[in-house]
Amino acid sequence: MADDNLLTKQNIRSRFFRKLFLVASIFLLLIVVLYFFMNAHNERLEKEQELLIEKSIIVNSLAETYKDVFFQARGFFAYRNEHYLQQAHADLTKINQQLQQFSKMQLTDEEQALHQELASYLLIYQNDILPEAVSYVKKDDYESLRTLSNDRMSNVVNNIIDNTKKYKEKTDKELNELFEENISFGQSVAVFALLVSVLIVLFISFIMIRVLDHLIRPIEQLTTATNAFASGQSFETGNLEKMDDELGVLANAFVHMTLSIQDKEEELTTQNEELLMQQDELQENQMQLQRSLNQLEKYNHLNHALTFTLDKQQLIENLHNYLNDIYQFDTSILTWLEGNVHAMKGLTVEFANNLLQHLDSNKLMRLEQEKSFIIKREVTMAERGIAQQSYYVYDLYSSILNAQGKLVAILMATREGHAFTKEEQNGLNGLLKRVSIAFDRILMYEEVERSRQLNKNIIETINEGLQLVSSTGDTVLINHAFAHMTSMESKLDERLITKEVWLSHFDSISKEPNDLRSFFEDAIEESFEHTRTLRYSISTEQDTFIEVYATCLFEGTNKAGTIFVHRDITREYEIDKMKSELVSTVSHELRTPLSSVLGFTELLLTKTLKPERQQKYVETIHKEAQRLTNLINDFLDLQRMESGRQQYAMKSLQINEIVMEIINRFRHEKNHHVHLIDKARDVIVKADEERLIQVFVNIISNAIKFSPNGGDVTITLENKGQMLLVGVQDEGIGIAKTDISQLFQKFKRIDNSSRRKIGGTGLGLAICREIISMHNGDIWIESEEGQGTTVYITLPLENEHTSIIDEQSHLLSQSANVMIVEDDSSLALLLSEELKSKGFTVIYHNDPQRAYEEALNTPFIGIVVDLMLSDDMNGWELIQQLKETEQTSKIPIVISSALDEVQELVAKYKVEKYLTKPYPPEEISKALVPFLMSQENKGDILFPKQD
Amino acid sequence: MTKILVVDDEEILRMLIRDTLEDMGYEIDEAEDGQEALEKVTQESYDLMILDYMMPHVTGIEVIEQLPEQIKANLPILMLTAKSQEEDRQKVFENGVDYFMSKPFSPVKLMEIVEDILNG
Repeated sequence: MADDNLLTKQNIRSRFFRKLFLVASIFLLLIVVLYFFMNAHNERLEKEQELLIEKSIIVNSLAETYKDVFFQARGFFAYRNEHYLQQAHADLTKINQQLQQFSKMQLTDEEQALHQELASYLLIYQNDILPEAVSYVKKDDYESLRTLSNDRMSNVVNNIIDNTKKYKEKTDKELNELFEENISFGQSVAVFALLVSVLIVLFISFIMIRVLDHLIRPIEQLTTATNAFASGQSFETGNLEKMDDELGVLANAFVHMTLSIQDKEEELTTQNEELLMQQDELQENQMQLQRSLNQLEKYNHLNHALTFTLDKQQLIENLHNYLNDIYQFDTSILTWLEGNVHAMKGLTVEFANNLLQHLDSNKLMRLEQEKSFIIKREVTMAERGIAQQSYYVYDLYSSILNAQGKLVAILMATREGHAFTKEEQNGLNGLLKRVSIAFDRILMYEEVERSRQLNKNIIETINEGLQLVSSTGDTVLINHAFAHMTSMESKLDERLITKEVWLSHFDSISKEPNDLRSFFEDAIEESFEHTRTLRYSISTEQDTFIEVYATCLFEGTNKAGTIFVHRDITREYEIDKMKSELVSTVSHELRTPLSSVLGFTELLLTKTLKPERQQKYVETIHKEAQRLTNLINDFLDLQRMESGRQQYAMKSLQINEIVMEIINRFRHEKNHHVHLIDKARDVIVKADEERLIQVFVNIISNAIKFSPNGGDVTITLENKGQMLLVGVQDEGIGIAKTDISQLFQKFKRIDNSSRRKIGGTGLGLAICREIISMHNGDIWIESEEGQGTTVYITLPLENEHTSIIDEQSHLLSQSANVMIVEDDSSLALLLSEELKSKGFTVIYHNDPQRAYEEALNTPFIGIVVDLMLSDDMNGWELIQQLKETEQTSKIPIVISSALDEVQELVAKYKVEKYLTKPYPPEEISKALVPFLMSQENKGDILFPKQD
Repeated sequence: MTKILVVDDEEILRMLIRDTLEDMGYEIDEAEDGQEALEKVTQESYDLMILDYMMPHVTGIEVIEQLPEQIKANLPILMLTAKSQEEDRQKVFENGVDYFMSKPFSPVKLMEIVEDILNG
C-alpha cells in the first residue's frame, strides 16, 4: 500500500501528465491572447474604413450637387426658365445641408479645410455670383454674364471639382492603405502562430525524449540483469532499486525473485540427488526381475517344447539347452536310446558315438534302479588342462524312464570343481520326470502318425473311390479315385462337401441322378445298417459306369457315418454289353440259314414236289448249310484270335511268291482278271503263311464278290519306307464314305440291297484286321461308290536295306516297265526278282489276252513272253497280235521258252531275243537293258556291273 | 384272291414263304426291306403282312409304327422274329401285333397260322 501511495506521487505517468498539462495551458493562453488582439485590431480598422467611405460618399454627393447647381443655373441662363433657377436654389440649400452633415463628422484638418473651402464657395456662389448673373440675365447683358461666367463662375466651379477630386483620390488612397495594413497584420499573426506551433512541437519532443530516456535505460539494465541471471552469471542492478518509481519497484521485485529462485534451486538439487539414488535402486531391482523373467521365459519355452513338440530331436535339443542354462555343465550329453537322437555340449561327435556304443551295462542297470546318481572323482590330466593343482570333478548320471519304468533316455553331465547341491539334484529329477511324459507323448504321436499315414496311403492307393459321409449327409472324406471318377478334383482339399453340393454336382454329371439320390438318402438314414449296391453312370467326356456300395461305419455300437465305395465298372459293363450284343447278333445270324435249312427240309419231307423243285431246295439247303458252317468257322476263328489263343507260326515269307500263288487260285474266274503289279524289292516279311493267305484270299474274294459286273482285280506291291504296301483294287460297286469306318466291325455288312444279295458272314474283315495287327501291320480301305474299292495292307519288311536298291533304281527312268507273260508263276517270280533288282517295274500276267490289253494301256520297255500259254491263245498268237497293232508293234519282244527257237517265226515277228529255258536269270536283264538304252537314247545311263 | 405281302431282307426266306403259301393258293407279293413294305401297303391292299423283325434301316417295329392308322386297323400282321425272348414279344404286342412266329419256323406251322388268321 505504501508503494502504491508512493506511486501516486512519484510515478512516471503523473510526472508525464503534469508536464503535458503545463504545456497545454501555455499554449491555450497564447491562443486566447492572440484571438483578442486580432479582434480589436480588426474592429478599429473596420471603423476607420466605414468613416472614410461615408465621408467619401458625402463629398461625392456634394460634388454632384454642385454640378447640378451649375447645370440648373446654366439652364436658366440659356432658357430664362425660372424653374431651373428655383431648382438651383433648392440644390444650393441641399448643399448647405450636406455641408453641415459633413462638418458634424470627425474631420481631419485637411477635411476641415475642404469643408471651409466648399462652404466659402457656396457663399460666394449663392450670394455674389448667382444674383449678379441673374441680374445680368434680366438685363440681357450677356456680355457681362459671359465675363462673369468666364472669370469667376468657372473659377469657383473648377475649384470645387478640383477639391472634391483631390479628396476622393486621397480617401481612396487611405482605404487602400487600410486594406494593405489589414493583410500584413494577418500575415504577421500567421507567422506568429506558426512559430508558436513549432515551439510547442519542439517542447513536446523534448519532453518525450526525456521521458523515454528515463524509462528505457533502467529497462535495458533490467534486461541485461535478467539475461545474466538466466544464464547463471552474477548480475548488477545498479541503483535501480533506489528509484522510487515503477522501475524501482520492478527492480526490487526482480531481485526478490532471483533470490527465491536460487533458494528453490538448491532445494531441487537435493531432491534430485535423492531421486537418482532411488533410480539406481530401481534399476538394480529391474535387472533382477529381468533375470528371473529370462529364466521364466526359458522355462516357459521348455514347457512349450515339452507340451507341443512332436519332433524328438527338437525336444532333446531344447531340453539340453535349458539344462545347460540352469546348471552350467562343463560337458554334457542327452541321448534318446532308441534311434540315434542326442544333443551335447563340449564333446566331439566321435567321442559321443563311442561313449554311447560302449555304455556300461552296469551303469545302465544302476540308472534304471536309482534314476540319478553323482560320481565325484579327481580330475584327469586331460581335463585339467593348464590348471596347476588337482581338483574334483562331478559326473551326473540321470535317467528318463517311460510310464512302464523302462529307460528311454540318459543325461550325462560333468561339472569341474563345482558340486551339485541337493536342491539342484531335486530340481533336475523333478524336471526329468516331466520330460518322460513328453517323451511318451511323442512316441504315441509317432505311432498315431505312422498308422494315419498308412491309412491315408491305403485310401489313396486303392482303385475304388471312397466317400465317407457323416450322419448329416455331408461328405467328410474322399480319395483321389473318387474325385477322379466323379470329376470332383477341385473338391479334394476341401474339409467338407455338403450334401447339397455333392448331390447337385452329381445331378450335373449323371444320367440317373434320382437313383443315386434316393440310394444316398436311404443309406445315410440312422436305421440303415446293411450293405447295398447301386449301378449308375456318369456322362462327362465319355460314359463311365460305376457300381457303388454303401456300408455303415460304426464307432462302438453307434453309427458314425456311411462309407460309399464307388468302383469303375465301365470296362466290365462294356464287355458285358458287347457280349450280349454279340450273342444276340450271332443268334440272329445263325437263325436265318437255319430257318432255310429247316424250312426247305420240311417242305421236302411233307410235300410231293417236282424233281426240279426238289433239286432247287436241296441246293439251297446245301448252300445255306455251307453258309452256316462258314459262319461258325469264322466266328470261332475270330473268337480264338481275339482271346489270344490263336497260334501264329511266324517265318520269313516272300510275299510276291504268295501273292502269285493266290492269283493262280483265281485264274479260273470267268469275269474277273486278277493280276499283279510288282514294284517292291526285297519283299521278305515275317508272317504266318496260312493266316496271311487267309487274309489275301478273303480280300481278293471280297473284291470279286463286290464287283458283280466283272473287271480287273489289281494287286500292287510297293515299298513304303520300312513297310511293304499291298494294294488290292477292284472295279466294283464301291462303298459309301460314311460306311467305310464300320467295315471292320463284326457282323457289320453294309446294308444296301445290292450288297445284301452278295452275302457273307460279316466277319471276314474283322478277322483280317486281327491277323494283320498281329503282324504289326495295318489295314485300311479307300473307296469311291460305283468306282471300286482298294484295300491296303502294310506289313513290316524283315530286311532294312531297301534304301540301297532305291538308289540303284534311281538310275532308271520312271517308266522302266517290263511285262512278263508267263504260265509258270514260279519262273515268272524268278524273272521278276531279277528285273526288279535292276530297277525295272515288273507287271505279271498269265493270261495273254489280258497281257495284250495291258500293253495297249501301259508303255513298256519290253515284254517277256512264254510260248506255252493258255488254251485260248499261245505265245506266238500274242506276239502276232502285238506286232499287228500299230500302237504296240514297236515294243521289243523277248521270248522265254523251253521250246527250240523257230527261226522263221522269230524273223517274221522281229523278235529281239530268244531265250531257251533253262537259262540264268541275269540273261533276261542283259536282254532287256539294250532296249532301255535305245529308248532313252541319251547314252548316259550307268548300270551296276554284275558279279 | 387273298393277297399276302412278305417282308424279309433274306431272299431265301422270302422264297421259302412264297413257295409254302403259293401252294395254298394265296397270291404273294414281296418286299425286301421296311421302306419297300411301307410303299407297297399304301399302293395296294393286302389281307396279311408277314413281317421280319430284324431288318436293316427300317426294322419291323418301325414299319408298324410308321404304318398309317387306317391301314394298320385293317391289316393283320404276322411278325417273324429271331428273338424269342419275352421282352421282345411284349414289345411286339404293345405295337398292336397279335401274331408272331420265331425263327427258325416250320412251314407247316406257318400254313396253319396263316389259315387261322385269314379264316378267323
